[in-house]
Amino acid sequence: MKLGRWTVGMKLWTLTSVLMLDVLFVGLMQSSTSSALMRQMRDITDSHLPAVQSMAMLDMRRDGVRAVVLDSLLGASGQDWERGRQAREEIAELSDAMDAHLGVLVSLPLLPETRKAVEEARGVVRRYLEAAKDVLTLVRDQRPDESRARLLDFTKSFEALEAQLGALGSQIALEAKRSKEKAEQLMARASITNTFLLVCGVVLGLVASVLVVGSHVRKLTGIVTRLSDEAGQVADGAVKVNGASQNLSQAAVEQASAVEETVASMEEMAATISKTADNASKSHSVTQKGEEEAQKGKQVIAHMLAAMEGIEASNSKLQSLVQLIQEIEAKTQIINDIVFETRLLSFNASIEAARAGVHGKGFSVVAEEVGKLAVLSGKAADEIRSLLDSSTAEVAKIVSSTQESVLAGKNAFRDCEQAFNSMGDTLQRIRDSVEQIATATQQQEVGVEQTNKAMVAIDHATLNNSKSAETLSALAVDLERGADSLKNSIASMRALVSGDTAQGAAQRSSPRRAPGSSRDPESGDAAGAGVTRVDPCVSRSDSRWERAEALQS
Amino acid sequence: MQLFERGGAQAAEEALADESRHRYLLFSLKGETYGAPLTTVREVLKLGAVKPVPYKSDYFLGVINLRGQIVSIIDLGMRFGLSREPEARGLVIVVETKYGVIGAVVTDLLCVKTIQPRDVEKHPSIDTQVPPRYCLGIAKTERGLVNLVDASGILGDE
Repeated sequence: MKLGRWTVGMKLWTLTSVLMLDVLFVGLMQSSTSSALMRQMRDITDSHLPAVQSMAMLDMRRDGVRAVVLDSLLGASGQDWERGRQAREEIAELSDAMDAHLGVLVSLPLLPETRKAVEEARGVVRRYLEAAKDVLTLVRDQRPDESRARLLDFTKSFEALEAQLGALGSQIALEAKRSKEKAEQLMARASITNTFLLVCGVVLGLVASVLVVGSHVRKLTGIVTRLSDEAGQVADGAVKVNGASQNLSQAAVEQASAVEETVASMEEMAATISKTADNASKSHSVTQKGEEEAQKGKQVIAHMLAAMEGIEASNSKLQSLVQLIQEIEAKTQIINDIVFETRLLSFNASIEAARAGVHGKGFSVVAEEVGKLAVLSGKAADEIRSLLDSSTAEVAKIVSSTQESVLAGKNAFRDCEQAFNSMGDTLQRIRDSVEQIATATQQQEVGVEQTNKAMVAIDHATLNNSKSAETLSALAVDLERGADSLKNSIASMRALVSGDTAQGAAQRSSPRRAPGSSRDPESGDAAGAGVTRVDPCVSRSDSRWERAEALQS
Repeated sequence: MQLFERGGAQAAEEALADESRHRYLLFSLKGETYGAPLTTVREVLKLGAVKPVPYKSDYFLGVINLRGQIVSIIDLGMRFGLSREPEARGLVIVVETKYGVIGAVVTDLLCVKTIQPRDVEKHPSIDTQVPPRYCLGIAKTERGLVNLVDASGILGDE
């Protein structure tokens, strides 16, 4: 809508232009009135007043002339030459003066009627003056009668002049009055017009102010209030920003110190890691040696087991020996059986011999001998048996003990083998662990390097942060200043718009400022802004940083 | 098997003492040494297969065929009441009794010995496990005390 885009400026321009036009009209009217009045005034001052003055002077002179004349007449003894001469000089002066006045009158811008009257008066004045001069001459010439006659003329011309001057004066007065009336007319007209225009202007102004200015002033007041609030908030914000920038700076400082500590820890860790790597490699070689030894041990054990097995083989051979012995034992058992049978046989033989009685004596001897032989055989067999038994026992003992020993040895060797195996496994595991440790330490070293780089990056970031904090603080200071100036502007605007004093505005906004400034106790700004510059970040003069930065680059 | 410990000279002496009736067959039975007169003993043998015969007496082990002759086998230990179990070894002394030829299972055969009557004590007061009717006396030998038993009367109560 066209009206909507009729901005305040345009409205105000319109209003002011209308008012200006009105004022212009009023002014023009006034000026025209004034000029008219001035013209009238000029008339009065330039023509009427001089005219009146001239008239007055003329009257004066006329009276003076008359006085001189009369005086000279009175003192007309004619003897006083000096007086007469003085009188004549005076009359001459007076006539010059009257001429001058008349000249002035003529020169004045008067109405034609008045001018005509002036010309007539001039004539009369001339006659008057001539009469005066004549009188004086006559007086001088000691002709009293002519002088008295001339005096009558003089008196007539005086009266005529008086009348003429009176007429001129009244003419002039009339002119003046006319001018005055004219002026009054003009004044009246002008006042009417002016009043009309003023009323128009006032009405317009009222309407406009009600329609435009009032609402806009309200809006402006609202805007100003809001701006004041916003300015207060901006100031608070500036304080907060400053606080934040100080926090940031502090955090950056803390971060920097933490980063330094971390770098130191990293260095220690790197040293520890390299030590660990050395130890790991040493352990690796040691475990390798250990594994080789274990292998050798296993080989030895294998040899020993082979030897054991050889022993076992011989043992089993011994066992076959035992078997042999057992076979022999079996054979001796047979022998024993045979012996037993033989004994039985001998017993039977003895029995038969006994039953045979005497005849069987030799037989009984034979039987007995057989029995004895059998017994001897039995004994031998028994001895053999016992020998065999003991041998068997011995061999069995040997075999069993050897078996036991072999078993024990085998077990021992198996245990050793197991031990070696487990040792080998353990060593393998140790070696694997050590390899893992080595790999891990390598990774750790890489990690430490990366961490170092990261630390350098963090440090750079910290420096940037602190620089940003500085910038932020400076910006906060600027912001604070801007907020202050804004507040001043707003206060002045408020003063302009709603008439509130700056103090009131400041009082309204300062309570909001207090919390912001209380957060910043280090601010010593008496103006209550609470925004101070942030100290620059700690400098990096540590050699480690140079190294780290060299690494970084 | 116990060994016979006598020397050769003594053996000759023994051989000259030809009193065959004083010759005894010494055997052990359940730990005790007994002697049976050689005259009553027919022979000794080792048991092979005994053919069991159902009989009411538990000491009766069975019969065997000895060269065509049927011989009853009894367990002497059980007969004497010395034990409840039959003898395991199977050494049999074949004796002649009034009831025929009986084989008595003994533990072990020791030897044939000539025992002089002066060495024999017919003292019944010695406490033996053998019932007194079988006991011929106690002989003192270098082995110790030997119970001399009458083998032919072992089936006296039958």
